Amino acid sequence: MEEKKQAQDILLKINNFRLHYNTREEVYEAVNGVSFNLKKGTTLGLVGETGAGKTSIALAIMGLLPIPPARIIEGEILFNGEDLLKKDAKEMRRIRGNRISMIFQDPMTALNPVLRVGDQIMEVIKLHDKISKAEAEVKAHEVLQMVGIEDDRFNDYPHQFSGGMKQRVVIAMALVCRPELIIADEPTTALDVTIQAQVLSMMKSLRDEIRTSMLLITHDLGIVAENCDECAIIYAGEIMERGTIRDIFGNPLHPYTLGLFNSIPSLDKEVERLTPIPGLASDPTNLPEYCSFCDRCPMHIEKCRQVDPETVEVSPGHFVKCHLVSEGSASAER
Amino acid sequence: MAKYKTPEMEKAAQVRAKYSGKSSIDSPGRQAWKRLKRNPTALVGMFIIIVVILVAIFADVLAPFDPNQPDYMALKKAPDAVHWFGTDSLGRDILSRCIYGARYSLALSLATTITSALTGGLLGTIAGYRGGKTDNAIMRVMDVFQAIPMVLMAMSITAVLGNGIPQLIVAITISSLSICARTFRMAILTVRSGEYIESSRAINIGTFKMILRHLIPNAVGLLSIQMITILAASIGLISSLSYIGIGIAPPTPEWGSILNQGKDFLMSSPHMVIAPTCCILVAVLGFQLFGVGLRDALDPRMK
Amino acid sequence: MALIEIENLKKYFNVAKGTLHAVDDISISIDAGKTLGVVGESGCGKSTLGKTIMRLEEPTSGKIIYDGVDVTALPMKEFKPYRRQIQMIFQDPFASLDPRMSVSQLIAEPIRSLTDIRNSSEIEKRVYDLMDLVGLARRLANVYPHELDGGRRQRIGIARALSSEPRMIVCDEPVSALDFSIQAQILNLLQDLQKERNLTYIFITHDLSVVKHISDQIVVMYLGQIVEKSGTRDLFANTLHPYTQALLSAIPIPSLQHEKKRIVLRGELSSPINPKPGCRFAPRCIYATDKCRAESPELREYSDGHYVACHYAGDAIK
Repeated sequence: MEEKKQAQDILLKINNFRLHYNTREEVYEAVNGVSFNLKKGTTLGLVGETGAGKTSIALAIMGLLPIPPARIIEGEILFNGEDLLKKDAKEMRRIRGNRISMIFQDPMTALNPVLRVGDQIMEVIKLHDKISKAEAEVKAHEVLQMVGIEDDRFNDYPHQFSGGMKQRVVIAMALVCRPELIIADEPTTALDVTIQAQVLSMMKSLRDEIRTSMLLITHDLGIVAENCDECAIIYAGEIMERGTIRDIFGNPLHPYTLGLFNSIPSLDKEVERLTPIPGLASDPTNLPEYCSFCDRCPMHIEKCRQVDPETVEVSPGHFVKCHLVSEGSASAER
Repeated sequence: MAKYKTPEMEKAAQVRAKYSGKSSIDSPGRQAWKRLKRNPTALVGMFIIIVVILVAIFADVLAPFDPNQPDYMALKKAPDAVHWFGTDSLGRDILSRCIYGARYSLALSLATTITSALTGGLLGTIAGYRGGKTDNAIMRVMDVFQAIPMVLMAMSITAVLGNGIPQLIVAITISSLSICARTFRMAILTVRSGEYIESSRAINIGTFKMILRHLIPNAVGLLSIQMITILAASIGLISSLSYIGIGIAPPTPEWGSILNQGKDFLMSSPHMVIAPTCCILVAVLGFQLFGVGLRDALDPRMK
Repeated sequence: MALIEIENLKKYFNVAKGTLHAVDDISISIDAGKTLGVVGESGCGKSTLGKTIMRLEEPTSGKIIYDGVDVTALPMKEFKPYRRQIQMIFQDPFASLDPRMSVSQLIAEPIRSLTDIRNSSEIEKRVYDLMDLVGLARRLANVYPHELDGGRRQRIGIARALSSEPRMIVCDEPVSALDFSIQAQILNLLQDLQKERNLTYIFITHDLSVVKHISDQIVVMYLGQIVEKSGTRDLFANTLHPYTQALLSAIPIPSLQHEKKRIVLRGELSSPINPKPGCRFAPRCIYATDKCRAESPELREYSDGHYVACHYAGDAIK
């Protein structure tokens, strides 16, 4: 009974998802056995650096992976209990935009430069709701107002908008059909700080208003702290640590998570010298059989070079993939 | 080693092993050559070009007949065991004419492409790099050149300079000048906006060095394709000019002129047209394929 | 003793809609061995300022006095030797390196063009020295930049800037394209180099936390003008200008304890084309009055070494 109720709460469940990109000379191990749950009405932050596999996961959920070169090796992506990886192109088209929307980093990937902004929003509405043109127009005006764009800009073209405004339009298009899940891939990375603050606070209030779930992909831990309920730290296509915001920010356990915190210059504290994570990001075409982070890890023990650690649940909902933690000798120094 | 083994990984490892070597200590030229060798398109193109060049060089040995020797006993003969490509309206062996034709067509088209790439390229590079008034001045003159019909231009040039092969080269160079200039200008403009150009200015790299070391090498991909297109077009140009009696005089075997002489008998003896057409087609194809391969090989970003 | 003094520097561009006041009356001075952080959002003119110091852009008016010499007055030919002493690190390590050159060629290029070293074995030695200095493994000498990650590419950029042993380096967003873990490595490298060689930095960035970490002095720019200028500690302890306050509050903090008042600015960033008199920040400022819209505030010294361009700074605004 309890279990069933929990399963109903989960909107998106990814199980042991593994994805490779195959080229003639290389196999790029982009995602290596990722599992996480996204509960209804909550926001999960997916944090990682360039090439960690964040965007590949997003595209896989959307059914937008370029296959080939991409190849799904194993795993399942359950959306309301249905495996999205088993759906055909036609079914995915019906889900995309209607039930799952995506916001990209570059708003121009979603906007057509030769169409008026208002018309583009109307087009999205008409595509998903069977309503008349007049009704769609009314709705489009409403949506633009919702994201804080003045009514007289309805007939402007995308190039007449600034970056922040364009991203607002894209968000409006993503929200217009009230999707159950929004995937936002670095939605504010291209924006200035003050504009980012505007867009994030707008996204937050809209998300609460239409009670949608969100997968927020970012490299910025600050954005996660302020916008998410849960967080997953991804490195070389594997989730190293995941848990609630309280777990990750209050009790970070994985050496990579700790390393990330230490390499960010702080606004509150005086730090003479930063402590960067040594070395370079792992090469996804040449991953070790043991822990991917081991070669950069200042705390690694002998075992780290021998076996790939299992993911363990250290406290309810807080998962860590590290020998130090599973052996109970973790010393979380900050 | 990997997180998860797939059959693709083994295949990829085999491919890597096949091509692995000490590539990191090779000179850029050697690396480019290695990339070229691994590019099947380029290799086919190169093979065709080498064959055509060899045919041109050893025309004396290869041609079964004298290309200009009429045989009034065998006029307009269809291909057979003696005349593989048949004979033309004067009974000359078309195969031999095509073999000798390779010399003229190849040499002339290469010469005109090189001269127009040098002159037009210089003008276009200056226009693209300097911008502003210089750009405007050069490009407006180029517009005028482009406005004059090519044939009219060639006729006026031969009227002034007299008829002959050098005059032909001048005429074709001038008529493809504006296209060359435009191509170079576009390529330079595309490349010039790169931040590395600014970073080179910050370390006092002069104009001349900037163009030679940074702009041209980065534009070479765009340029090689365009230049090969111009090369291919010039084979056609030469033949159409020879048709109106400019440049190559009729008995000289050149692919274009063979084609022209044959076209009157298109319906009755199509072999007279097919042979030279195939020659032009094969040569152009060879250059095109090689051009595409060359562009990729010269780009260190290509693996 | 100030190594470089910039006086009333202006750089205007003619654009289709009018005159863009990219850098509008900027005066700053930097002491040798110190770091001046220039912070602002896109279109505030911070990059143009950096390029004008390198004379990659010619200033419209104003002076740049380097080591007692007005270098803006020099003809280009006489300015060029100064580029041995003032160098630049560029923002985008992917775009600022010629993709057709190998690492060693890229580092050798400025040695040839800026220094007197001509002997090729000496150049090679210098290339390897520089690679060691910036932490690039020697085996990478013949690799092309596209094969390297952002951090190592930026190390190439730093090696290029150091080739002529400059005294001053203009760093134009050197870490903003990098991942956090790599960003920290590069920031440490820049700090170590500064200590070792007494380098003077102008550090241009949009990231307040980075600028706080690395700078001794900070200049905050908005639409071509300085709105606040102060020592680093003072700027964060006692933020005066409403724009700086908003900028500071807009940064998401990666911590749970942090409870702060967020000032979400209205409106958009515009660009300073034919600016009207009045404070340029007024249209977005929550405190703006009619006076702000009519009268441009002067940059005035509010407390010792802390300058602000706001009519009401300190009184009503906290």
